[in-house]
Amino acid sequence: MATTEALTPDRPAVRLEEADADVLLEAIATFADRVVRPAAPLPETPPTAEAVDAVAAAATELGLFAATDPDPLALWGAPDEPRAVGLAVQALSTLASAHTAIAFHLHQLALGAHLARRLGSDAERVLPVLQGRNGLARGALARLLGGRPPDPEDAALLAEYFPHGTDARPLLVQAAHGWDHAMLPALADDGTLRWELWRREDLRPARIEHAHGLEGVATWLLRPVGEAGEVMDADGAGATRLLVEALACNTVAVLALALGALDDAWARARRYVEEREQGGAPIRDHAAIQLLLARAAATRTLARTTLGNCGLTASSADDLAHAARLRLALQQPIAQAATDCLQVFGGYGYMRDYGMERVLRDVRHLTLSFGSSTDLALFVAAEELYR
Amino acid sequence: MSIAGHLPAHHPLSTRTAFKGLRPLGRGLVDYEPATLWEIDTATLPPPLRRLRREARDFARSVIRPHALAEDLEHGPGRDAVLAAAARAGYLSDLVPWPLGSARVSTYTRPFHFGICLKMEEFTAACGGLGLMLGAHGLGAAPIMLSGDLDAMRRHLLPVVRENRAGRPSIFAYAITEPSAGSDVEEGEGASRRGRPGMVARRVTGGWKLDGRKVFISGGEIADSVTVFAALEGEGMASWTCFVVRKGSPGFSVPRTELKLGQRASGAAELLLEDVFVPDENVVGGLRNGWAINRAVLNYSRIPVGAIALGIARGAMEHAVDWARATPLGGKRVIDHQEAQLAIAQMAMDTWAMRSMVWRAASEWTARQAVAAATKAFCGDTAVRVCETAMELMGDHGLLHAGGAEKAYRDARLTQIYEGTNQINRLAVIEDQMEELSRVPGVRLSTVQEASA
Repeated sequence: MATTEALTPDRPAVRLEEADADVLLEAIATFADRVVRPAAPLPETPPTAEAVDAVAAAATELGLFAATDPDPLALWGAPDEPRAVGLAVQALSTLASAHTAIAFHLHQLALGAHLARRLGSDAERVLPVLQGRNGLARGALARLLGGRPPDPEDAALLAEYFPHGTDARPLLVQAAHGWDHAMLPALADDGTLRWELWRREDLRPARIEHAHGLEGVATWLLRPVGEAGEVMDADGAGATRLLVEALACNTVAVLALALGALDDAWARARRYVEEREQGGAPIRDHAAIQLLLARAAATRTLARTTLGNCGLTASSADDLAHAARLRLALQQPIAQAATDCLQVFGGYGYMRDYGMERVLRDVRHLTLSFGSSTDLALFVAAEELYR
Repeated sequence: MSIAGHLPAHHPLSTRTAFKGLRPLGRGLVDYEPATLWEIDTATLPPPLRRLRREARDFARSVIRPHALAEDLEHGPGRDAVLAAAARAGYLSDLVPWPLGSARVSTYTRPFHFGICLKMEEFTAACGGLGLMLGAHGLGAAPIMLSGDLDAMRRHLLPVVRENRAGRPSIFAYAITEPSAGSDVEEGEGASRRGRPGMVARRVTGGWKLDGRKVFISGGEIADSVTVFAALEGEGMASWTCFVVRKGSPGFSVPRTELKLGQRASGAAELLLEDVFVPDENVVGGLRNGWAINRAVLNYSRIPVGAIALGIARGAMEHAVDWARATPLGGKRVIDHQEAQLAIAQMAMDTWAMRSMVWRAASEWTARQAVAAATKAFCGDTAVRVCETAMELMGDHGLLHAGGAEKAYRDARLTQIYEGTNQINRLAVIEDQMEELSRVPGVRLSTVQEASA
């Protein structure tokens, strides 16, 4: 069992030099182009499990995943350092513009590794399970993380977010094939929060064959029933802090991935409007097309500016609240912008080999995972109104 | 039976109970028995159309719905089963009235496309793709029906109707879109500027030879007859002519069916015509009348497309409501949460608005471009919103294929694109209202004009 010291180590001061970040981002852009994109060369065909694993292995070689704690140049290597979070946002959106599902997998591996590191575990390929049976427990989770003791109604909702014990209803999670362990937050009978490390086989994962978006990442039913999980930390305060951090990282990541997917849609639409003609002129010349793309351009700028330049960190309760509000504000406009980009293609946008419909599904997926907009709104409301 | 946050029906303050306590006259004015929105709307129809709606719903639930999810993943035996059942039930021969076809004359108290709209809503509530497969047959036959060409009806429509009445599916498809022209074949100004048409008909002895490609043809891969639009050799779009092309004609092939986002049970086929001979008697409505026929077909088909969007949206809502009723969340059902009730009410409002518009639009005997295009665009956009709400309500469960809502979302997205993108449809509204919209402004605008002078 790890102790709470693992969560609050005497960490060296983090300082990320801008030049280092620029070099890394350039390397990631090259990696996205040369490694991620070729892993799924045809838009209508999802990457194989082997191809996704190969990308993950190459990402390890690239140094995308932290080897030490903290490591501001690695993905989620220093969530409390604004430049490192900014770097993560840019890295994830760049990777997602090449392939959203693969980028999602790399994010999960990085966050899982971060959790394991902070909890003193040497487990590898750790899947972070941050989603309850129905999203974010309708505000009850926010109230719990804010230190409010759960009333009976919240306790019932939290039982859905921390589904342990004898309830056999499974958890729904998205993950590529390549994971060996899962790290789950759990609520003990006395109300304290802790983390549990589960071996894959103990969760009896059952794959669901068909789901919307993020092809290349599978949907699984997990059953964390019984006592098979290794309890990682008994200190409720430390465990809570780590859950806040993990949720904040994940919230920022979901937005960054959606933004990357939109970048992909935008680039494809931008090319298409110059090639395609209607009424004897490129469709670029039609105001109807310009309006669609102008909205998409504005949304991209808004999202990129907000995410990239606001000094976002992802380690405190305030960070989580901030990230949740950003996601609530930006997720739907990003999804709308992606659908606007598809619309400029007319019938071709609807066909799988043009790649636009994949983006549409990926973005929709990201809108619903880890809390739908309604769920997120209740999370934000709880954080604002019950703090 | 009650829902959290609302008084049970037996509570003295519930309208269910309170209205019953009024005096007979008051009770007669305000009291009513509970009814579903479907029943409330159905009750507003004349009895033959009520029957049509009820029968279409039964057919959709018993025949279409069981195949919906499987046919969305992969074409299997479901399509043939649905086609055969639809032929037996008269849904492929109701293009013309009894005794030649299967449409009941009694339903013609409203225009014939009103009945089509009722049918399409029910079919697509069960499956957007299979519904489209059945609806595309009517679209393919529409040029013949709307051309006023009695010879063509006798020669091409009635034999198909007879086959279908006998339970042997015989399908029409409608072919206008070309690889380099989507919107240009749905919109006059673009067509007038278009250079070389893609499909060309060359005069030969006894008929025409057609050469070119058509793309995204709904049901093109299963069609026995296709109404193909082509320009006459050496002429522009004004020479567009409608030809009936038979499957199996030498030079006719289907090289490809598309992998689509949704409505996947209905194929979107590419048709390749390489010097396909078409006899003179297969010309529909006369030479150079194809453009007029095409625009008329779009006017009549865009309202049923609105109904398709409506049906898909309703299907998504039904999936989401079923899920919300069955799924526990925090010690109660999802539907007992206020935010879920708000989402359900929004979907009900949106679908009701769509249905009101579709039924109103389909009540006009002559389909007007502005009305049809507005209906199509409004319903397409609204349907996507409803499907998004349905998925949103279901959260991450909304991502699962088995849940039905994500399929509905994919299906709905096409209604913003086919039969002209919704941008083209908005412009069609303007084109059709140009007399009113280009009128010299009245006096009230004079101040504005002075200010801008």
